Amino acid sequence: VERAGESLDAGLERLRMVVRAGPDNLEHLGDRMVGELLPDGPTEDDAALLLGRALPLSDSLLTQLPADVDSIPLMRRLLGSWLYEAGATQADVEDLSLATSEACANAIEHAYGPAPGVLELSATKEPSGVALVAIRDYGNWRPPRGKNRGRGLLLMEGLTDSVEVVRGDDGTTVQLSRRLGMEAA
Amino acid sequence: MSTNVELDHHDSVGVARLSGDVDIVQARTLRKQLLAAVRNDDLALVVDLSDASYIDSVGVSLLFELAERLAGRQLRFAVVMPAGGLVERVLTIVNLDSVAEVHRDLGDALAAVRDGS
Repeated sequence: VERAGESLDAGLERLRMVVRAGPDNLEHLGDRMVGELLPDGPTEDDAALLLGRALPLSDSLLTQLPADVDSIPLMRRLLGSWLYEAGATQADVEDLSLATSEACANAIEHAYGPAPGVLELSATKEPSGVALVAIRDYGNWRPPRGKNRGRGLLLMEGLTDSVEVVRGDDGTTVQLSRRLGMEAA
Repeated sequence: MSTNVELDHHDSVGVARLSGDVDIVQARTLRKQLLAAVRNDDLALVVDLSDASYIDSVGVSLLFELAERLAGRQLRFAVVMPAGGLVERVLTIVNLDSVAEVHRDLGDALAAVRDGS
């Protein structure tokens, strides 16, 4: 955008015009930007173009993260943002995020051995206002051990409307549900 | 968010003030700090959760472990619980009051563990 003998503002304005008029497809937009902004082909300076699209969080959330304790706070933040968009109260967000963290912790601890694994988090909101959150692993679930895990399940049950654990041949899914926007859990 | 631990002594009562997340990520460090907070000649330990925003089952288990260890050494154990938030909901679900004296503020907790009431 910067050219000798011209103010930077003029170049930026040219960039704005091209992006605003350009095609929606990011690849085509990139081609067009290069064509319009560098009409004479390569310059002596390097030119770099980075295009990104900011999307609103969609009706449903689906993400995969490494089955590692460090993923848990990230999951919480991601789910929390999605829940707020979906009309959740602060208590909904806190309770569902904690219940989800407990399910993730269970999967990390019990589904996988020392080898790295994957956790899948999905969330949807039903027209009735109930949020469904599923935490899925692809490991072999060992039976929970020790008092601590019992407390994890206790918390999941206490903080949501329902907890369902579905064990399949290729992994386990914990399905949590909670009606959003109610005053008390 | 990480957990911050402030250790303090009020006469013969240890006070550990936790803020932030009391969770699986912080548990190991936190456990060491809390166990080290208890002195041999202490009468009691108070864990102050007034500024804690989050506690998970690992954090809860840490409190239960502390309760067990302190009881084994004839020390009293009190927890200051913030009202009306996630921490209160969690500690109620797990019945923390079955192993610890639960109070709303630090002053009450200190008075109670000193009184022997």
